[in-house]
Amino acid sequence: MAKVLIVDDTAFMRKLLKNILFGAGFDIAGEAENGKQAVEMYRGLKPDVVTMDVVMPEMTGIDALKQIKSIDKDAKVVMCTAIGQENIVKTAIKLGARGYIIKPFQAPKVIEEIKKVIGE
Amino acid sequence: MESDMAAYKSDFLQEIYECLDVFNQSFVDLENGDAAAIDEIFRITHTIKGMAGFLGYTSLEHLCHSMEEVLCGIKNGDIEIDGELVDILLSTVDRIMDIVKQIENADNDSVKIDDLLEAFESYEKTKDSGQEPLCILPLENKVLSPKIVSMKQSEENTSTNSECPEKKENKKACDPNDCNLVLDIILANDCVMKGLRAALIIESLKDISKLAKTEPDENEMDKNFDGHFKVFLSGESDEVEGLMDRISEIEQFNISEIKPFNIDCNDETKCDYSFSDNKFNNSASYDKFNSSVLYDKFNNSVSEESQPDAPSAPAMMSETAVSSTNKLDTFHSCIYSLAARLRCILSRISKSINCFKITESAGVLLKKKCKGSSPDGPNSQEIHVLENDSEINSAIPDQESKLDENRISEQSSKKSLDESIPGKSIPDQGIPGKSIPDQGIPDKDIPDKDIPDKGISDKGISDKGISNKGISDESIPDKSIFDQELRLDKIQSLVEDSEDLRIQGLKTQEVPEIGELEKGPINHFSESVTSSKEPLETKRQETIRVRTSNLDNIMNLVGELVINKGRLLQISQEYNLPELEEATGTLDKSISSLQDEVMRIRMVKIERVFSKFPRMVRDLSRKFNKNIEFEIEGQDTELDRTILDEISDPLVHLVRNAVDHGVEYPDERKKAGKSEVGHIKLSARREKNNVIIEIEDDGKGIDVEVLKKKAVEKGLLSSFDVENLSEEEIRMIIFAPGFSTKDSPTEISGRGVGMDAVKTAVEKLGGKVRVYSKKGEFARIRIDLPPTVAIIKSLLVEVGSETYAIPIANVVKALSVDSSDYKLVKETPVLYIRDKLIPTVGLKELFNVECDKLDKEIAIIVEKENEEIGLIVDSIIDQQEIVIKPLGTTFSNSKGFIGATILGDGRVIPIIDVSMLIKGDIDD
Repeated sequence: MAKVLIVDDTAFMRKLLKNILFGAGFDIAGEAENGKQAVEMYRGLKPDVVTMDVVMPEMTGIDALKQIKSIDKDAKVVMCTAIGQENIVKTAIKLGARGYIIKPFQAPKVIEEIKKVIGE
Repeated sequence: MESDMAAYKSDFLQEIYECLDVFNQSFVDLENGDAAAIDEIFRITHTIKGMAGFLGYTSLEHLCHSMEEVLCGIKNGDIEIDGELVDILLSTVDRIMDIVKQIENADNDSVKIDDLLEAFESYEKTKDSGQEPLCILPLENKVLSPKIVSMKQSEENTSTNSECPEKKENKKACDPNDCNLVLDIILANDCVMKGLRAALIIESLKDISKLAKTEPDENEMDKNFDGHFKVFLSGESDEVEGLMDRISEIEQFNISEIKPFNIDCNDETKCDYSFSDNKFNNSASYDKFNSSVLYDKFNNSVSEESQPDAPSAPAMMSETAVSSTNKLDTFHSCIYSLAARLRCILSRISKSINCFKITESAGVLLKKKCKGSSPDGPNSQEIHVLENDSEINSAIPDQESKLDENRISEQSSKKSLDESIPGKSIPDQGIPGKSIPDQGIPDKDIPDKDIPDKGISDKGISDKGISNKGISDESIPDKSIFDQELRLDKIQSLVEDSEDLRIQGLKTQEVPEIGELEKGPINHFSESVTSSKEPLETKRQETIRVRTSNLDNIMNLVGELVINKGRLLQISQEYNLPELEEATGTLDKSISSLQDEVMRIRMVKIERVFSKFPRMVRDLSRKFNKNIEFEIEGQDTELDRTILDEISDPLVHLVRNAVDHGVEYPDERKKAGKSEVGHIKLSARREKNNVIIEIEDDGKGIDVEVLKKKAVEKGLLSSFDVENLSEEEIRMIIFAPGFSTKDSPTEISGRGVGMDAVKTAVEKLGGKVRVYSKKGEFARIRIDLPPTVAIIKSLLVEVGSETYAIPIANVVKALSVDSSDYKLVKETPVLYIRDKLIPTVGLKELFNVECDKLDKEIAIIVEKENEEIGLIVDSIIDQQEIVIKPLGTTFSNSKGFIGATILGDGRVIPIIDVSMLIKGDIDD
């Protein structure tokens, strides 16, 4: 089963995503609270897909995306976005993000996006 | 789902309270000029917005959104921050707090927010309207440690190499005439951000194909974009179809082929044609193509482009045609094998050096040759390319020298090639001579026969792509560089396809060199990463969130252990078993460590409560026009979570009092010869077994004379008391219920409720409050708190056959009394001790314990809220630490007890609630 690394600074959002993804049969490889942790964990866990929040302390999702992409250019990173963040997510897409999910998360949409991205 | 939502809600509430705490601190930081605070505020607002959105609290979401917009403006510098704006932001924080309370209590967020939304709107208008917020990313982190900064920089360096916009520009530039596919896409109706989804699709397409244009234009897919768009591209329809299947929210798509897929743009085709026409008619690659299409193209492009642009081209071509057939054959096979190698290397590079794109690096290598061979073709693109070039070279320092060596060896090993090339007078020798041998595989490693075995189509295509390059550059110098990049893009994708086949044959030679290549950038990267890792690890502490109730359970279990240990000890003594006693002693040690550890887990830094005060003092001092400096000390002091929650409100009262009653107005302070800036200090520290919290202000202090007067006026003290009490005792009157020195209460304080509540709360926690003050100089309130509530010290007393526990915090003294110590006051016996009358409560009577009354009894004098009473018991058994156990629902209505405990022998002992006894509520 595909392993997902969840990156969000809010425990709430992490739990939410975890429940959605776990319920859909994904393995949760790990959870990171900021970009820096995410990069580190990516290196260690080699997840199949990463859900990446944008606004985070320490290191933003964009910076983390850049770094993860430089570790693994085939990294599948899905950005978590909200209304008002279109432009930043566009940047993320240009940097190689493979998809995005919109807060507030709707479980079916999230699952569809992740499944598409990993090619299931 | 229902219960899920409830769980989410409780998570939400917990998280949001933490957010709000950080909020308050950040705002104070912000006003003190800490620019980084705005990022933090923004982040938190965003977090709250996200959570609110999920739980459907629309007005909270809306409010946060508006606030976020304004914060954006601040970050971008469109909105200037001033006190007024901070006030609005702060009141938004308060409103968020209100909403959260509303959510907590009534599960809805119907709190009025219109006023704030309006306020935000007016601010938003001041900034350049019509701009979508772009500032989601915090300003460059200013507080990064140097190491992290260096990593960031190196990362930026590498990313400039692969900077997407550039790459995309190059890739995108496919001539509309060269498109073979039109992709018609309709996005799903429920797709929220259609523009973004379209961008994702377009970007993904760019990875596998070349885009000519989109309809509507990419930049026009804004908010009104309906989700229907067309992409004109050059690529393979299978790939495109596969890609579409990997992107969600596509309602339907249609790929229409407008002409057969042709790997590359016309100039290549044209050149290819020129070759194939003359010399390579038997080439397998040629067959793959629809020759008529190619031919048409060739004709078109020659007539349209090459003639006006490059007058020298026709001459060049004719020269080519003149050269001998067999030389060209050799050349072709040579190019062929080199192409294979290049392809392999490219793919390897692209895999390993992920920081910069293969297209660019390969493009550069080839371009160097072009530059040399086409002197009339330098243009801006070339310059840009050269810049890239140097970057790449510096990133891979080893590469250059390696390449040179290889070139030499290769040239010597390929005499036939060397001969054939000059003979042809194709200025492109550069390619075999330099760029391709760069990859460093002697020719023989790829036997020519190898090539036809492999996927013919791929080979043919890429072969053409490469072999043509130099020639086309010659004929159309203006376009050459640009086109090469395009072609190499294509090569890359082809290379990836055929890679598996090719690599095998090449591996042995390839690997060590590629290893070198890889080392350059990758080592570089990992170094920077490891250097940043160290401080990170030392900084970050693993934490988990634990429900307090779980900890309570553990605490209870530890309590059980303590009790059972007591039983063991008792048994060992009863039966005289020294071994058991010793074992119990060991057990005791473990249990106490366990107990300490659990206690420590329950401990929370007092920072949690203290952090809201800077904001509060700021607000209050603005309101009162007082100038106050607020100092906090000992934020790291730890307290039991329960105590911390309980003490929070009392501290708010005390801090308010200090601002309102304590610190004087600036002019008053000036008159009194003090500095205009008042000072309030809030401190916490651990002292022996207690946590001491003090609030001190350097204001007017407490005037004992005024207190005396007021106390008598209000009938709280008799004039006799007033004369006899010490100053300290008089000061304690401020804690009396209903006492206030102010004639009219202010908005903030002075109703005479606060201090009473403070004292009650502190005492409920088993703590004590004291007041120190000197008139005109300072006032200090000191709170002593036990660090934990679950275990208290108590006095075990016996009444008849019953045992009771009395919390030692309430006990003043214990005396042996007999009937001579009593006096009758209004027919009620009252203890008369040292000129003091103390009412008594006989526990025997109170709890209906049936036994004889002893001659000599013990009076335990307990105090609560400045009142003392004597509890009459038979004897004192012991002083002991006990674990408080709640009475549970069955006994929740019984008054007079705060709980029960279990003694070592297993007996359950009630713990007496002293305040209840004093109030006399117990009678019913």
